[in-house]
Amino acid sequence: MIKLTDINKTYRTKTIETHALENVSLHVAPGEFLSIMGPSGCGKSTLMNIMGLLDTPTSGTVEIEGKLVSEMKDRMMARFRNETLGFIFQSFHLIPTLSVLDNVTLPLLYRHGFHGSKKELAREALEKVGLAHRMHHYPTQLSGGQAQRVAIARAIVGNPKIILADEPCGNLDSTMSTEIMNILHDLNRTEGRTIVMVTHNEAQARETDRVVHFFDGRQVTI
Amino acid sequence: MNTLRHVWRQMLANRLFTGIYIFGTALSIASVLLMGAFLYSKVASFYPEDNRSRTAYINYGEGIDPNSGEPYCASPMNTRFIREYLYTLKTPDVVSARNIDSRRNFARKATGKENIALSLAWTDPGFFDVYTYRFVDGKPFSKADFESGVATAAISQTTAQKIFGTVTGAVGREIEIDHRKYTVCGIYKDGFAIANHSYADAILPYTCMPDEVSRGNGFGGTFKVVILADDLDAVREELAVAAKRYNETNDEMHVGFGKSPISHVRQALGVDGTSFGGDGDIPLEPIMALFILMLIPSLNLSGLISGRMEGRLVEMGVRKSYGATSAALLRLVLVENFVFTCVGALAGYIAAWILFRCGMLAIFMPNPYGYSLAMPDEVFLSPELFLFVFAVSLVLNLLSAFVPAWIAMRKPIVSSLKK
Amino acid sequence: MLKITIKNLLRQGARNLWIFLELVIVTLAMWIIIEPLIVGHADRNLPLGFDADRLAVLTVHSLTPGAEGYVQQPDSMGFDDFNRLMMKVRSLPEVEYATPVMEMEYPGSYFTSMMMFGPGVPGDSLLRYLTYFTYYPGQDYFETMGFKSIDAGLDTEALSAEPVSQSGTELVVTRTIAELLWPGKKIIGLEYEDRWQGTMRIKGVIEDWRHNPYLPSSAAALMPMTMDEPLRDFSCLLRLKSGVDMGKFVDSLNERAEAEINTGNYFLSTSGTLGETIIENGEVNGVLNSIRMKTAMAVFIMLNIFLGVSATFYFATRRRVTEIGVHRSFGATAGKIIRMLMTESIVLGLMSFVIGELILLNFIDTVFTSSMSRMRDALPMYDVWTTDFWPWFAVVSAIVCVLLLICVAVGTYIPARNISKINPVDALRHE
Repeated sequence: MIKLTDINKTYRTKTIETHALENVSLHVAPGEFLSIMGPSGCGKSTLMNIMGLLDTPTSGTVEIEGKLVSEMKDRMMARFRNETLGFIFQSFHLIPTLSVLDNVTLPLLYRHGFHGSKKELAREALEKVGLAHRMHHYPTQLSGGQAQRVAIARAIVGNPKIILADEPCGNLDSTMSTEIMNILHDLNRTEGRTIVMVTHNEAQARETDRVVHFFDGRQVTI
Repeated sequence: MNTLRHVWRQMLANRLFTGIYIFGTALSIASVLLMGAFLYSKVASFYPEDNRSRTAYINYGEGIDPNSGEPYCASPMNTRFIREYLYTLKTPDVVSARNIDSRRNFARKATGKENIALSLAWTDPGFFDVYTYRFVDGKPFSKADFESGVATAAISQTTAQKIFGTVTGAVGREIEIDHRKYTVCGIYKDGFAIANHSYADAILPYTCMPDEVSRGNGFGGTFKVVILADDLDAVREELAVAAKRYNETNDEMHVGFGKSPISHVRQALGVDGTSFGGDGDIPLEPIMALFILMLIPSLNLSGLISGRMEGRLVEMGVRKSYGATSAALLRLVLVENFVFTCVGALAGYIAAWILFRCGMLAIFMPNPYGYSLAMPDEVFLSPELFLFVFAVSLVLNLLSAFVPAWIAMRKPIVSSLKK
Repeated sequence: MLKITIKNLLRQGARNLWIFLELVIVTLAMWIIIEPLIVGHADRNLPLGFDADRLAVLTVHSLTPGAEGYVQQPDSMGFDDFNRLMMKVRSLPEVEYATPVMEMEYPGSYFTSMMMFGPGVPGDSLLRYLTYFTYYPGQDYFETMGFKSIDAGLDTEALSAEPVSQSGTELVVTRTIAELLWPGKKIIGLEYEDRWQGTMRIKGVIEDWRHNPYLPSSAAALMPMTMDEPLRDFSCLLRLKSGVDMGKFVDSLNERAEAEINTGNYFLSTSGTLGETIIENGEVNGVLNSIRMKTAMAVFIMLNIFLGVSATFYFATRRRVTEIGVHRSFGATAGKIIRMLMTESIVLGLMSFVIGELILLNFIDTVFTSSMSRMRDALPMYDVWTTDFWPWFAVVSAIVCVLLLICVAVGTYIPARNISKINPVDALRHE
């Protein structure tokens, strides 16, 4: 499903060169639930951003569903992101001035050729995460766990094949984290979605299909 | 998604920003509207100058050296000349003369000795065909009154109120102007001081004018002529014939009419109709003033929006990560800001209306004799002015929102999300 | 502190770009709008050269045949009525002197004064315009106006009284005209040559005076005229005694005119102080209107700066809450924080001003020429700083700078004060 080959990412300023990623090659199989672990600053978020087409590698290729996406133009990349990927962020990043329902319909706004009912699909997504009764509330009226569930609903509303979750439980307590992980596992096992998750939590990582460790921009295990 | 609801939430989310943005926009729109309405009032048709599109002026006769054929002076005209050479023009539908003597005139109040300063129009019956004064009582002086030189006057409602203390029953009473008595023949609805060609507190036939004021030699005097005509070129041809007729009997000084008649619009641009005057260039000062009134607030608002965009970078990053293109986000920001701008524009419209009601026109117009300066609603609420404000709002929005939004859109998704 | 301030400003870079750009443009706009206001104000405050404070102006008109109260008179009676009217006016207890002049021919009226054109000194090749006003000898003109003769040969009263045999044959000039045309000479009795008027004998020299209160107008000469027939409509200038309430006097004349002024067919039409008349005429000729418009524009611009600066700095200081918290945690007082933030904004304002001035210098010649062309007449009279480039540039720049910085400072103070009060713990927790 996702194939990264010899990925390098270097950040350059006038005086300093930082190698965030060095010669990383990674393959994620369809339907796999992969965890990426490592200390702070090891490059895992950078890897996630490159995988999610939010950032471009300095060198190397990214293939998703057999398509060489690293060479796509901006417009094509945006469309691909919209149709194939769904993001879950550590800080939720819900738009405070939109209702829960409107936040969840966000990906559908940018879907080319979409003719269905956005509200209907959003409601269904919210039902999956158990928050359909809150759809007219605003993000400021939700707890952390609820906010992250809305973010998950937003990530799946467009039916993407791949979900990328960057420390989805990073800002949540253990009870809420368990809730979130349950939802993610459900999406993976029941609906067969490929999930790549960045996490600091060993226990959460062990529950996934495979764990990849990073250190100083390099893979330590495959 | 309901854009308006989203914008409303945006407004509530940061009330200080909203307040300052709307106030800044309102200030700009009000200022532009004040100036725009004033400039538009110079050319738009409104009571009683409803016929401006057909109105033209013959302000001066030119003195021409019979030997060289060159004009060397210009002067308004006297009534003898006007009667013989201008009233006889066939092309115009109406030809009317009005005295432009700048002497101040006074009327005595009906009770007591107090004098009221008046603006007078010494003119002829054609004046009421050019200018559509509406009479609330009585009627204008007739052709018969005019020819007979009877001392009569049509006065405005305000004048009637000032002199007699009432509007009803004033027709038929006597008004004393500059120690002469005139019978009031009619009371008309007040005109507007900004329509200076037609404005008068009292309109009298020039045939009952004190002689000394209407005298003149040759063609020279103190009268200007206004006409209603569609074909100004045909009028010019007729004027040339009239001038020739005059010149055949006057050897010392010939007469010419320069570029007259000049349309109302050209007169508003400063063309006086003589060979010495300019051709009416578009005045730069008001345009520059309008430009400053828009540019400085747009820079202000740009700064505001730029600051605001920084706070929305995360939102932009999230939208981009879900597939929004830069163009889509730019459109979103521009539309949102346009709603803000429209709210500000509405506030500005209301503010300008209030300011005009409070006599703000005094900033734009000399008013040495303290006339009531009002902006006609016909002008202020006209579709043309509304469209102008709409266009200004659009430009303001683009000028202020486009660049900050464009800069924000170009930020990489990752750095936006990190904010 | 200044070094840190400038470093901070430069590092913030694009954030302050808008306000920087706006302040540069505002510097230019303020210059163009405020310069005529400053120069005009300076011009209006130049000494008038005559004592305008206690002058009132009456307009006297004559009834015409057919008017109410008109009295048909033989021609010879006209002068009697005129002289009786002038005697009545001079007899008013409040009046010290009174003089009749042609209608509207007094300083400050919108009457376009008359001009001569000629060499001045007979035979001179350089031709010049000279403004002149007329007066009637024997009618206390100089005493009323407060002109002072500076020629020892003829004192003011004598100059005022000395008759003229024919209109347009004599001239009273001013100090500037005398020194320009006949430097260092005694000029009484010399001839002034004009293309239109011919040759006139110089009969007196008076101190310089301004005939147009709105311009640093040139010296104007005075030409004595004979009154061949009584003036029909004329202006009467009055010098009131000290201690007289000018406003009350002028207001009372309407009531008193019938009994104390009107004579024969002459009647009082209007009355006012010279100051009021100058203002009225400033309206008629559009000068005051122009001042109002430019002042309104200046206020508009300053309001915008204030809005823009306070909004921008409000957002900027909100972003710097953590930084402020750090300062506070290391002992900075609220006052120090305010001073630091205001120093930044003032430095930004100064930088914008300097850039604006540098841009302005590229077309400053055009601005200066336009300023000079607002002044009329060929003979400059006063050593006016507004006609000297460097003083003009320095004064206007200083005023623009001060106005700009006041707006910037006031606009910054409110957000700065708000942020300076923040608790360091809250600030450091803030994200």
